Amino acid sequence: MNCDDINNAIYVYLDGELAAPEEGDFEGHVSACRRCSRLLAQESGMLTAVRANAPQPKAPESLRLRVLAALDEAPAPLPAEARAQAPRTSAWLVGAGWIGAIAAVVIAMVLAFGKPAGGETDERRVLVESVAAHRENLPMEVRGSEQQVRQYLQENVPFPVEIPFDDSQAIRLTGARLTRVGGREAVLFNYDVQGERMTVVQVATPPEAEAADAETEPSFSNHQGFEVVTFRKRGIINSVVGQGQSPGKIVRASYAQ
Amino acid sequence: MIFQGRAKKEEEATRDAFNKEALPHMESLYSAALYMTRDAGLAEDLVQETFLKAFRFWHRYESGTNCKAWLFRILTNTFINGNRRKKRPHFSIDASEQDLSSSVMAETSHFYDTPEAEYLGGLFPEHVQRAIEELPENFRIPVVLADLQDFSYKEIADIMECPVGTVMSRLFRGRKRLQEVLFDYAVELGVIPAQDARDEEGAISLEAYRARRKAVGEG
Ligand SMILES: [Zn+2]
Repeated sequence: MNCDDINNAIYVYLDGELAAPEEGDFEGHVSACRRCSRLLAQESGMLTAVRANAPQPKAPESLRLRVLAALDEAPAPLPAEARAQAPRTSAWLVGAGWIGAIAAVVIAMVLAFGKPAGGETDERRVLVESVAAHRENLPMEVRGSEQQVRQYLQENVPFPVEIPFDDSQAIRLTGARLTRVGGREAVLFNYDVQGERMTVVQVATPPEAEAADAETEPSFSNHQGFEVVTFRKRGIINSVVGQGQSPGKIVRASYAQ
Repeated sequence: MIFQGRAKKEEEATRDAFNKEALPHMESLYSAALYMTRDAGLAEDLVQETFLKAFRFWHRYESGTNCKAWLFRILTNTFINGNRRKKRPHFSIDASEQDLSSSVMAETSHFYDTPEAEYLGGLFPEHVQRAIEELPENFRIPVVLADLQDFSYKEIADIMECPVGTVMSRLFRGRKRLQEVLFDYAVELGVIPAQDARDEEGAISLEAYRARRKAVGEG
């Protein structure tokens, strides 16, 4: 190691993250080099001073009470058995039976942490807004593979998101964007089904809402000429919008699994 | 209808586990939240939101694994996303890193002529706090996670969802920047005599240093 190497590795060394052989090289150079031994003393002094002097404010008691009260109101999370359920998306997935269905955009909206609201109202609102979003067909913020979309969601959505349907030859995730529904944050996925659009809206119930992780059976309806299927699964409200019968087929297939 | 038959007992057990494993990290979360948001009210909101999300997604947490890191991942994501949403279009991480790197990389040898004990003793907690809070978000978060919360590089990489190499380079730049600011305070406080503020070649660097600081401040 030369002096430049020491410059570059100095924090890694001080953080104890340098691998053993490099650590030996590092110490060998520093013990023989006045410049680097001074640098090391300074840098470790700086880090020590930061750790020693940086205030670590205590959480106020009011915050603790507030959090406890909010947790009391929050719905219970999924039970331990459900945790073992494997990959996030696969449990959902669509069988091959509906191939030939009309294409689709999938819009997944995740409404997070808004005011408590009745489940019916939430679902109705998601249904209406999902149809509006399907019609509006704004450009996606991310396009590409499921992996890219997942990456985008991880970076932009402050909590885990369920990608509603796995990629397959029949249904392909092509993009996503963030949006708003009723003033709350939402995420929108874009799927391509055999060259056409379908819209699925997926909304996470506000955690403080009653029955936030209840499940409901799919409800099939027609809105402004589009078929819409809404249902709640794992605390997420889903609204699937598309032409013809594709939303119903996809949802039925995923439930059939 | 998986959930309907669920026994009340099980719910209580879940809440007990959450209380035991997650809630003890409130102090750490609040401290980090304050450094991130720089506002007590926002920090409290951020912590509460973090706990509610953690509870909601508790089934994703594997019992016995690193709960603190898991909670910090939620905290950090929530903070970053909250900010990002406010200031669209998304700011470019690369651009802000480049802005800093040219000034910071040239900056490695500021304290050479001053024994560290001389200025360290004169620093007050509020200076250290202000210096950390002045760091750009990209550098502030890893510095807070490493220096105030003692997370390893690997843990920080998991929390920030980025490669370990990125953690290392941001820590490097963040700490160099922190050093600059602390140096500035030390000079202001008279802990370091201005004439000792020399760079490696022995030239007085204070003016150059201040000019650079101004440029960074305006940029
Ligand atoms: Zn050297």
